[in-house]
Amino acid sequence: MSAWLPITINILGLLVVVFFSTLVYYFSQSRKNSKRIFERDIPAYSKMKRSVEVAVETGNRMHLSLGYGGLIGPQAAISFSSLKILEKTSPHALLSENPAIISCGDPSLNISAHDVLETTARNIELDAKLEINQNQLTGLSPFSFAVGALQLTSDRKTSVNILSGSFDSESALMLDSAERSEHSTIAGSANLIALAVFFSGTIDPIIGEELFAAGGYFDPDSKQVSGMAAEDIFRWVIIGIILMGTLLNIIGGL
Amino acid sequence: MGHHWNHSDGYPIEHNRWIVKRGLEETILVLIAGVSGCIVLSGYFFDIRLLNSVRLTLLNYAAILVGVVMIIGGVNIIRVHRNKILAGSPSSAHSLVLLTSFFATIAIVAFFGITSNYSAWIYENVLIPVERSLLALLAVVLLTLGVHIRHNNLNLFRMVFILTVILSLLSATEIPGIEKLRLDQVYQWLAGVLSIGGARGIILGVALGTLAAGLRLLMGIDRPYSD
Repeated sequence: MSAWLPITINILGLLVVVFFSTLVYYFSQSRKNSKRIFERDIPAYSKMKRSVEVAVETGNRMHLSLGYGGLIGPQAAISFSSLKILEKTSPHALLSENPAIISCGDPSLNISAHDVLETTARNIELDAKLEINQNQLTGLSPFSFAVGALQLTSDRKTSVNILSGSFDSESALMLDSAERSEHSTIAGSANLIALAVFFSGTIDPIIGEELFAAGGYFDPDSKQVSGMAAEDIFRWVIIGIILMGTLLNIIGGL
Repeated sequence: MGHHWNHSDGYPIEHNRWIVKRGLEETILVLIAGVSGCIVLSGYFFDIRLLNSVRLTLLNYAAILVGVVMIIGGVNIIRVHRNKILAGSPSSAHSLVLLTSFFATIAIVAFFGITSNYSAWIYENVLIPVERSLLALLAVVLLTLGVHIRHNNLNLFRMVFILTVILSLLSATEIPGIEKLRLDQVYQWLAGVLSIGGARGIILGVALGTLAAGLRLLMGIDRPYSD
């Protein structure tokens, strides 16, 4: 029995991946269905759009902090989602009198953010050249990253701080600094400790999986929504399995 | 507002040049990403010697790239702070201290070695005390944020959050007479049942999101490397 257990788990894992891939592919081909399943309001994203627009109108700056998770390892998916937020907000935020500033705590994320900024600047035919200070690697450890980013969160030219990515308890330093400067703050993470901090420090935090919805929320017609729709279906499958397990457990105990 | 959000691509309409060219270069990039991803992923499910060997080689390449990327990151730090010093920004003194420490640390580690007494001295007498003092500061900042929570739309969820925090704090303190309230049992139920249930829910959602994000990359639906 014990020899078969790892093989059974592997086959189950493979089946999950195949089933999920099929759903993602199906919804990427049938966008109408995926849009129908993925229909929800995430207040933080509406606020993000509004805040960026106000920042551009008033000539202020958007500061987007991408966290310290890299593109290799378990934090990669969150980092890619945060880059998606950068991709969707930068076409607006770069047009401001004080263009967007990005901070992060991982070199690979720093390079990718630079790439996104350059692509955006090319696509919107931005006349001004991107400055090196617009994309800063503020530190390599969680604390040094947070302390390095404090200056950007409290800058008087900044009017909106977006914290999206891998953070931990040290994000409280950034939130406190943003609050003291009376800037609009939108924050989201998949880390439970960071979520507790964001829940107490911001009005509408982006909680866990909502971070992955960034691309779909900013662009409901895109293929991004396919993953969201597959997620929603799979979530109900998991809920069903959990309920069935609980029920069987109760029946077995009788 | 001179521009607005265009749902087809997220760019302002007057600047819309978002016409994706699916050229040869992009196809090659998608193929490299997809095939490498599939090899690494299948290594988790099948124990085949050749597959494991290719998977390890790919992961080694990734590790080498991470090393190179660290050097580029170091260059970014130097350039950003050099610019701040040259521009005479209010924080130029901080930048000067940072760059001096940065180069001094690199010189000491390169000259004496990473396990030398000098390198250990920097670690034990500079890095650890600074991080510890930041941790102490963090405790105060967290308390301040907790007090300010009432400013952030005090709805039902936030009230539950505040109540949980108060209960947890009370159960951890030894106030005479409070043991009669049996708060420790309430805390155990909160920590052992409710908080674990909530945490599992969030973690499951994140796991599904991670799976979806990874598969979108493997299937070429998301192409962050080809813009």
